[in-house]
This record gives sequence, C-alpha cells and structure tokens, in this order.
Amino acid sequence: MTTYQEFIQQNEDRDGVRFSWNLWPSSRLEATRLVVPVSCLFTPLKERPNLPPVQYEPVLCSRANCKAVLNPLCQVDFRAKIWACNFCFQRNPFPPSYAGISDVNQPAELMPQFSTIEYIVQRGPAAPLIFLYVVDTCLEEEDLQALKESLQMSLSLLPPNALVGLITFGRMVQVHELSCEGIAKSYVFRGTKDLTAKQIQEMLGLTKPAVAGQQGRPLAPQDAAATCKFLQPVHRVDMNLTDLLGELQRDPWPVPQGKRPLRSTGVALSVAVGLLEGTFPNTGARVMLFIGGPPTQGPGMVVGDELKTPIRSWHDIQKDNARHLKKATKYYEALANRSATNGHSIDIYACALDQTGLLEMKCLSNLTGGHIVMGDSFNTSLFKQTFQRVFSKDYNGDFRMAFGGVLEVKTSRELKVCGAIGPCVSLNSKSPCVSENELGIGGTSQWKVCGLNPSTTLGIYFEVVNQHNAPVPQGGRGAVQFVTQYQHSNTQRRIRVTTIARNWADAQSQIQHIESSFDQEAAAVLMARLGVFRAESEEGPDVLRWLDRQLIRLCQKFGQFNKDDPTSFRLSESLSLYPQFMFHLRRSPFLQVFNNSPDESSYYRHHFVRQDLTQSLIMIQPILYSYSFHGPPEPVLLDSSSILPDRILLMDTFFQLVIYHGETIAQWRKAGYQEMAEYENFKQLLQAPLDDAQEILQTRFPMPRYIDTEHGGSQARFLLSKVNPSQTHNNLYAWGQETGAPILTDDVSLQVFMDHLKKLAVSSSA
Amino acid sequence: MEDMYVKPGNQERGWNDPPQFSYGLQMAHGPQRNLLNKRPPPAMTSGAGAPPAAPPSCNPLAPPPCAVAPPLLNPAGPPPGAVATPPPPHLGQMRTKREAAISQSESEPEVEGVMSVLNGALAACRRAVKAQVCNDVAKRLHLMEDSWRSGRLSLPVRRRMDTLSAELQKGRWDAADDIHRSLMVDHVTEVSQWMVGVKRLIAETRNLSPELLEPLQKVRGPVEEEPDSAEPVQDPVSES
Repeated sequence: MTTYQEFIQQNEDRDGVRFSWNLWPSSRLEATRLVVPVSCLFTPLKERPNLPPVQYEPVLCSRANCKAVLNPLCQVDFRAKIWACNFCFQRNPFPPSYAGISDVNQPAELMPQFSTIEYIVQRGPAAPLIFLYVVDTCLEEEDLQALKESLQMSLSLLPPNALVGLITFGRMVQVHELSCEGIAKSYVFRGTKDLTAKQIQEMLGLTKPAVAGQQGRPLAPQDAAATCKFLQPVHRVDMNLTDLLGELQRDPWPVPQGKRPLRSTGVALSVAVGLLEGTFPNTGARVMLFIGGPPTQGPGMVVGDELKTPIRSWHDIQKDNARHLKKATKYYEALANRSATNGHSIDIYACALDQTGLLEMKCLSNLTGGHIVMGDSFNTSLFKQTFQRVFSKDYNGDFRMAFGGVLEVKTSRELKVCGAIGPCVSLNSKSPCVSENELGIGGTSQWKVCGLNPSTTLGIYFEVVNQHNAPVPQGGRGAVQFVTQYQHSNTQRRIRVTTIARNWADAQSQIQHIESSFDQEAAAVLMARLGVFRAESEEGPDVLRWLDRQLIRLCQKFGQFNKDDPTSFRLSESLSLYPQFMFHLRRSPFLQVFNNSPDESSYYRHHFVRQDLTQSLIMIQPILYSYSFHGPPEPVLLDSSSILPDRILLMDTFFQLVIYHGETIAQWRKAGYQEMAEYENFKQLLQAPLDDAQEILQTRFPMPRYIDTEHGGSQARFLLSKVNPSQTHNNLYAWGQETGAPILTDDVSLQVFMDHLKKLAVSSSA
Repeated sequence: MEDMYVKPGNQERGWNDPPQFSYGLQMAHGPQRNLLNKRPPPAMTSGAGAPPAAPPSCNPLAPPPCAVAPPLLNPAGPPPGAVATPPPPHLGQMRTKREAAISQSESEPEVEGVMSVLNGALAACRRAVKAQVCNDVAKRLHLMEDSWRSGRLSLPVRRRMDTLSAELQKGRWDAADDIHRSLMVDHVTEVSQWMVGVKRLIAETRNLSPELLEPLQKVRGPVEEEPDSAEPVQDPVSES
C-alpha cells in the first residue's frame, strides 16, 4: 500500500502534477473551509525520457463544447467500438483507424500508465525557429566586446536552418539587412518617435506596394521568408553576420558629463515586434534584448538622461514619485500583449551595475514566457554561461525550448477553473469549466505560453461547485485534463495530454483522510504564488496580513488543541512543515521588497512564478548542508544554531550558492593546513562542498551567484539574513554556548512566530 | 583533459561571479545525482511525530577526526597576521569528474598538416559551392593561418584545430562540428574572427557527394601515422 508521499511523488514523476489536496472535498462550502484552494502545480513539458510520442492525431469527444481527448478514464465498449467521454458522458464512435482495437489490443492513450501522452501532429509546413537579436550599443568597450563575442558564439549554437536577425540601437534604431553580398545596409529609425506596426512594416518594405485604391497587404509567410532580408537562415548568413557583429561600434553619440547615454529601447522593441508581426505571425520566435542600462528616451523611457535624477526606488514608488513608471509599464504591456498574440517570446538580458528598468519591462518576458537574466556586466561568467544555457539540448539532442504553447484545462462538472499563475496570457476562452471567481489570470480555461521549457510550471486554481449536502458524485472521482499544444524545437507540432483523477470525499465524515492527503509543499508554493500575484497589484503589508490570516485559519481548522491552551497545539505530519514555509516566505524577497531594488524584486518574482516545485521551495526556504569531520554531509535546519565554528555550511537559495566557513575552519584555512600532506583530510573537507555545488552550477538556469565567505566576512550576510534568527542580541544570554552565532536583527524568530500562531489559533475569540 | 576545466569567474566585473566551466565539462556531466535537495525534519513546529528523517546526502566525506586532525587553535587567540590571506584560487580546487591522465602526444601540432586538410576540403567544395562563399571561407582560413604562424593562438586552440582537421578528413562531421563549437565557447576571443569559416567549411563539405571528397581523403593529415594516440584527445568531445 502506498503512502500519500509515494502517491504524490509517483504522480509528479509521471504527470508533472502536484495537487494541494489529493482527496477532494465534495462540496463548495467544505472546500472553502479548507482554506487552501484545490489547486495544482503543472509542468506541461516535464521531461519524460521514457515517453515516446505517438505519430497520430488525438481522438476527440464529438460534443462541440467539450472536445476532451480520449484518455484512460474513459469507458470503452470494445465490441461496439464506442467510447464514453468521462467529462461530458457523450458516447462517441471510434474513428475507422481504430477498427482493430480490443481488450487485449488497446491504443496507448487508453492505458493507465499513459495518463500523460504526447502526439506528433502534422499541421502545415514545418516553420523554422526565429531568433531576433536586439542589441544596445550604449555599452562600455569591454562590455560591448564581450557581448559581441557571446553573440558570435551563439551563432554556432543555433540550428543551421533557424532564421536570425539583428537590430542595434542607441540613440537611433538600426535594422540590419543580412544579404549575402555587397555592402552592409540598414534601415534607421529615430529613437524618439513611436510608430505603429503598419508604419514600421511599410518602412521596412514588408508590405506589398498598394495598388490604386487598395491598402498595402502584408506578405504571405512563404514570400516573407524568401524576401525578408532582415531574417535569414543561419547557414546562409553566418559569415556575414559574424563580421557584422565583429564590426559593431559603441553608439557614436557622445555622452556629456553628468548624463546617461540616450537609449531608445522602447522604439527598438517596437520595431522588433512589428517586424516579426509582419513577417512571421504565429511561428515560434524569440526576441532577445540585450541592454546595459535603462531606456532614457522615446516611448517606454524609464528615467531621464540626467544622472542627478536617480532611477526610481521602492521608496519613490511608494511616495508616488516615479514619473515614468505608469506610462512606461503601459507601453511595454501593450508590446508584450501584441507579441503574445503572435506567439513570439521576448527575453531580456540586462547587465549593468545600476537598474535597467526591469520593473517596467518585466511584462515583456512574463507574458510571453521569455527569460530575464540579470547580471553586472556582459563580461562575466554569469552572463556568458547563462546565455549558453539558453541553447542547451536534451537527451535527444533537441533544444530544450518550445514555442507557441496553448494550454487548455478541462474539468469534470463538479469542478471549475478559477485561473492560472505563471508565464502566460489569457486566451479569454469561456468554456463551461470557467468559474466566475478569479484567482490569478482567470475568466478563461485556455492560456497561451509562448515560450516554454521542461521546467516551466503553472499554478492552476480550481473551485469545487457541488452544493452542500448534494450526494458525492457517482463514480466517486473528479477529473482534470490538461491539453498543451506547442511547437517543438525540431519544428514539429505536438500535443501533450495529461488526464488525472482524484477521489471525492465527504468532508464531514472523512476530514482526517482529506487532511492526510494534503501536500504541504505544493500548497506552500501555490499560496506563495497567490501572494506574489497579489503583491504585484496591492500594497505590501496587505499581502502579509492576508497570508497570516490564511495560516491562522488553516491552523484553527486542522490543529489539535484545547481551547485557549497554546501549549496543547499540535499539527499532524502532513501539515507540520507548512507554518515554517510560511514563516520563510514572509521574509523572502518575493514578499519583502526591503533591501532590494524594484528591478531585483521583479527579477526574483519573475523566476519564482515559473519554476517547478522543488526549485520554488528552495527559493522560499533555502537548503542548508553542513560539512564537518563528525560525519558525512547532512542537511541542517536553516537556523542560526547551525552556524558553528567547526562546520562548513553550503546554502542554496536558488539565486545564490553560499559556502560559509565557520570560525575555526577559516582560521585553519588561513594558516594553510590544507597544503600540508598530514592534513589531507582537511583539504578534502574544504573541497567537498565545492564538489557538491558543482552539479548545481553546471545545470541551473539562470546560473547562480557563487559566494565563498567565512565567519566575520562581509558576504556572510547572505547566510545570516536567511537563517532563522533563533539567537539574537536580544536573547543572547538565555542560550548556552554551542548554539551558534547570534544574528543582529530585530526580526521575529520562528519560535516567536510559532508562539504567536499557536496563541491565535487556540484563542476562542478569534 | 585540457578541455575539461573550470576557471574562476570575473570577480572584477561581477561580484560573486560563479566559476566558468569549459564546453567539454558542461557537455560531459553524467546522470544527475541530485545532491543537496533534502531538508532536516522540523525541530519545534509540532509535537506529533516528525516526518521520516530524510537520509543525508550520500557523498562520502573525509574520515572522522583522528590523530591527524588539524589541531584546535585557541579560539580566544587572535587569527595570525593582521591581514586575512585570500582563499586559494578555485582553479586548483574544483575537481573534474573524468580526470584522465593526459596522454596526448607531446609534439606540437603542425600548422601545415591542418591547413592542408582544410584547404583540401575547400578545394573539394569549390566544385559545388558558390565562389563567393568559398572565397569568404578562404579569407578566414588565411586569417587563421596568419594567427597561428605569428604565435597568436594558444596551445589548446592549436591542439583542438589539429583534432578538428583530423576528424574532418575522416569524414566525422559531427565530431568536427562539436570541436568547432567547443572552441567557440571556450576560446571565443581567439577564434571568433575566423572560426565561422571553418564552421561553414564543415557544413558545406559534409553535403558534398562522395566522389568530390576523394582528394580530401588523400591529403596527408596531421596524425595519420599514429591514429591511436589521437583517441584520448577525441573521446571527451565526441557526441555521447
């Protein structure tokens, strides 16, 4: 008999799904009393090396407003060759090609082990992938040189028949013609003037000349490919483009003392989006924006060119002192939505020591599934290797990136979809599964995820709609089907279908069973995503109050306690870690903007709402490993008591890898014991965390910062700010000797937090 | 293997810049061991039984303290010296998984051998590929030869070009392509001006019909007398 832990793991491995509750309350009222909504984290393209795709079209239910895909939950009459849709109960005949099926000869999509299955479908000619580089030339020499080299290198990583294009910008915006012979030509746009898509397409010669009385029409895609001089196959233009990149110069307009360079990012992006819109709508494409500073002129400018006016901070925003914020955000949102409609994703690679305007521009990547990479300079290993990893390949030698994803969610009639949180936009599809209550991006059961990879994960929120005291539905199980259509990096069109079911349970009589089906890790991440979603639209303290309120209600519902007796409070195993996750979430950079710039907060949140469960949990509550002579490396509590003089600590926050040497270790290292032959074991001890960190450093996207620090070092603050401050300067004398280093903070510790939580949960006046 | 290495990051341009892995090392990482993904059971949040203790990471570590353990420095004593010595550079510290003994031939790769193979391939291409393209490739090969002869190419680059030309001659297009990629990733500053020519040469040569390739195979290659000694060099970069 499998435990819930095993059940949860098996389901995640097979279907890429983690539900907050694995036994569903059978009425709406009971579901709201559970506090955490029935919701799931879903990874549409989870890597499944043992799942070979099938080469035929999926069989669909014939009911017009259903169209669910044939799946293992359907009842099948093999003799009559009829199947019953498990969502709408419509009886459908099998298509003629299924004439040979029988009980012992079942198609793959009916077998339980294929609850997730992938179809390869033929939908028109294979369209090549498109990569459009949009490059800021207002960079320092060293940075520009490093960026040029990285771009040249990337040409070797692109598939030979991919289309590539180049737009450079500074004060002006230049679209480069990539013809194979003769002098290099480019079309120049003023960086101050916004143009409509039509104007851009006309000026670039992308529309057929207007016949008398008629409007110019955009070229058909086949014509565009042949004649679009701006987007050409890599194998044809790689030599020319390499030279062109090599010859790129800094923006020639001189930058006076006390001023910023004039950077027309807004117009550059507008031209890029318009170019792709006019030539390759509805084909997989990536716009890759490389910037070394904020937009300072034209539409979408984030800050003026006077250095004495600093770029907005959180303080400015809270005091409503950010002049350009609303207008710039609106401008980029419009571009992002256009791009998403066309199925094109936009990446932002921002390398500068000051902010670059990610707060205003984040929607470009968030709505289109593009990447945001934030670094200090293009001449760093962090940028270079992260950029290389954009082009990483899977076990089949295919790129890990996928394009033009459309996710549709279908539910059995007792369930409705409230919304999704992740790198997607709504397709406004009003099916019968759509709930009126919205959580996240709601009002739809279909979303577009233009840029996808095997770790892209969406949070999907449901609502139980069965009325209270209505009998538990026949068959006892609710079902959800996820259908993801996308363009694979090898240009095939594919459809991945995941169909899952969970039992209904009557909350009145089976509350313990429902409680033991709680997946606290998934629930923590799902609630965190809701918190981040709210934080992006509300004031900070309100979100924390909301989060606290939900936690208290959950503890009141499921805690075992005697009224008004906090010391009697207990939580069962399936909830025991949840308060800890919430404690760390409250202090995390996703909900605390203190000590981060608006750009940094946007960057952290961008990565948080798209990662899978394991990585998201690491972001909420970093992992801490301890290395010592006392035994093998072991995970330790993220607590100040884990910081001991004779230990090396390795902390992974997802964005940083911190190796912290305790006081004694640091002194030994300084004394050089690792160089002496008799102290070989000390050398190994120092090496061990580096070896373990290597796997993370080699695979994670984006590449994390790497911090080597020690007791008393200034960089130790990365560790000290994350650990639970169970020992501070306030309670120093209440603790014994060997219990770690005190943290100088007035932050509440987990112990104090839990004490308050218990008090509030058991209080009869709540 | 000289093509599997880790360099420290650029600490001058980026604070806490992570180390840089070579292309060979990035491609070579084996099955994921998934270390560093466990949390300890909670200590104080509930009275009920804690969830089953997560097994600690299975990487066996240094022996427990014995007679040779570093002595306990007096914790009250000041650390020696006024200025903290910086930690040793990571170059020595990061170990690679597949450190094989370096058994490459000690001899310096010959530019003539490499150029004769590449020029032979180009000559074969001229029969089937547009003149403009061939001239562009020739220009770049010339650049490479120039850089080589004037000593501007480092030894790892020269060695890998040697191997690349050997693969090209044997018709192992994917291997040659992979080497070109590894050079672009690891040594972009040295090779970016001309490597795209080599890339195009590989791409065009592999599409030629077999009879056009015969003259190429007859060209005296750089390692034709000792095919075996070339193996250890080729292994890490061949497609896995």
